[in-house]
Amino acid sequence: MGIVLKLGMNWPDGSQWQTVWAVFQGLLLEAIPFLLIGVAIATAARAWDPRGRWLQRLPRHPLLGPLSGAALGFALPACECGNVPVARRLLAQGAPMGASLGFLFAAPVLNPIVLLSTWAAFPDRPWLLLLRPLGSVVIALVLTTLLQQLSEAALLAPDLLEERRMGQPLATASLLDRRSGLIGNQPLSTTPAIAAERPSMGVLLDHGLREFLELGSLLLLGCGIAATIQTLIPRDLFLAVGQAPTLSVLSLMLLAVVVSVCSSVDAFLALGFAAMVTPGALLAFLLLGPVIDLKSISLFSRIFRRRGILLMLAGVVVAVLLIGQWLNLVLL
Amino acid sequence: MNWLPPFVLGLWGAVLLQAWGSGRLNLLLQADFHWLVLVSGLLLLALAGLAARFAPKRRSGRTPALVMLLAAPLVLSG
Repeated sequence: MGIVLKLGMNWPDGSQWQTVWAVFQGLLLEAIPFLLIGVAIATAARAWDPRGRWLQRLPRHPLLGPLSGAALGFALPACECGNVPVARRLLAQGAPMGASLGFLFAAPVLNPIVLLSTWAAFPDRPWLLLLRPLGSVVIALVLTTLLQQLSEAALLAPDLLEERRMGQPLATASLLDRRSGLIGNQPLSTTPAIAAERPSMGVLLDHGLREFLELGSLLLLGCGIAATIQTLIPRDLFLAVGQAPTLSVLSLMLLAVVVSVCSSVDAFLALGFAAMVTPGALLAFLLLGPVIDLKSISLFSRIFRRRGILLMLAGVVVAVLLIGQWLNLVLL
Repeated sequence: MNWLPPFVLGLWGAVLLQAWGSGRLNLLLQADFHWLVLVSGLLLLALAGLAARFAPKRRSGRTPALVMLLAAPLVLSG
């Protein structure tokens, strides 16, 4: 509340809470179908390749790994809500870290739906259609390199780490690492271990259902926070800095985090204020939102430990700021 | 199996179908996304039925289901 008063705003009245409620419902109803798509893809991957043999063959090369993961976005189209369960499944099945993270960070932009919507919203700005996917790949490479500086144990959420190690050969992860319960430790995960054979439909449904409910409950939290903050802070405040090269990039980055709009429609939202801001700020808005926003940040707790989330946040903010600044230097 | 998760899944299917059928979506969401809400609602109902019939008996991870259970009527009420 103190922050609200310092920003010169009043504590929300009845009508503002109605706005918060409407925004919350809008965000949630937009995100749930994509979450369902993501969980469905993850469940299909579990059914098709229960031991992760195919996924483990993705490139481990520091450059080719993230690039191959990013390219998966074209085959598995999902926005930032839907790609969290898919990336989590890739990691759980033992896919190389670089490829999984490349998918997580680049797929929300590098998919046909998002590229088509960007083109539909900005047919007069071909540079945007080129720089958005390109920037997204650069960000994926930066974040993948950065996060891989941490060990898997320091980076991944405990239950995901356990599931990932169950799928890795003993040469890579010992019985102690696996915490399988065989040598005294209780298993951390509530999900059943990866089956040697193809899991039955019942097991698949059970796993998919629980994953949907777990991520859905986190999504509720994220949508609630995003709806409250974007109602309390008027959007005009973010656009007030207009043509200031650095400030406009920073404020549009903040706007992208706050509005938490799905990457498949964010270009249409950006169309409304594109003429008022610098090109770098516009690109920054379209690059940052698909990686991180208030709605999706809670979902990342299913993949990363807190240290990983903080490192990812710092990395993406610096990378997007530099890309936005570079574009302003070139075009202004 | 624990009845709660399939019930909550079905309830959210009903929430999405109610939002689509009542016209509330016109105020909340771009028209291009309305069909996604409809399909997702139908899919969630179907999956809830299948899960209730085929999923194995297991009693764990109830908290997310309870959170979603409490939130569903609120969203349903509009």
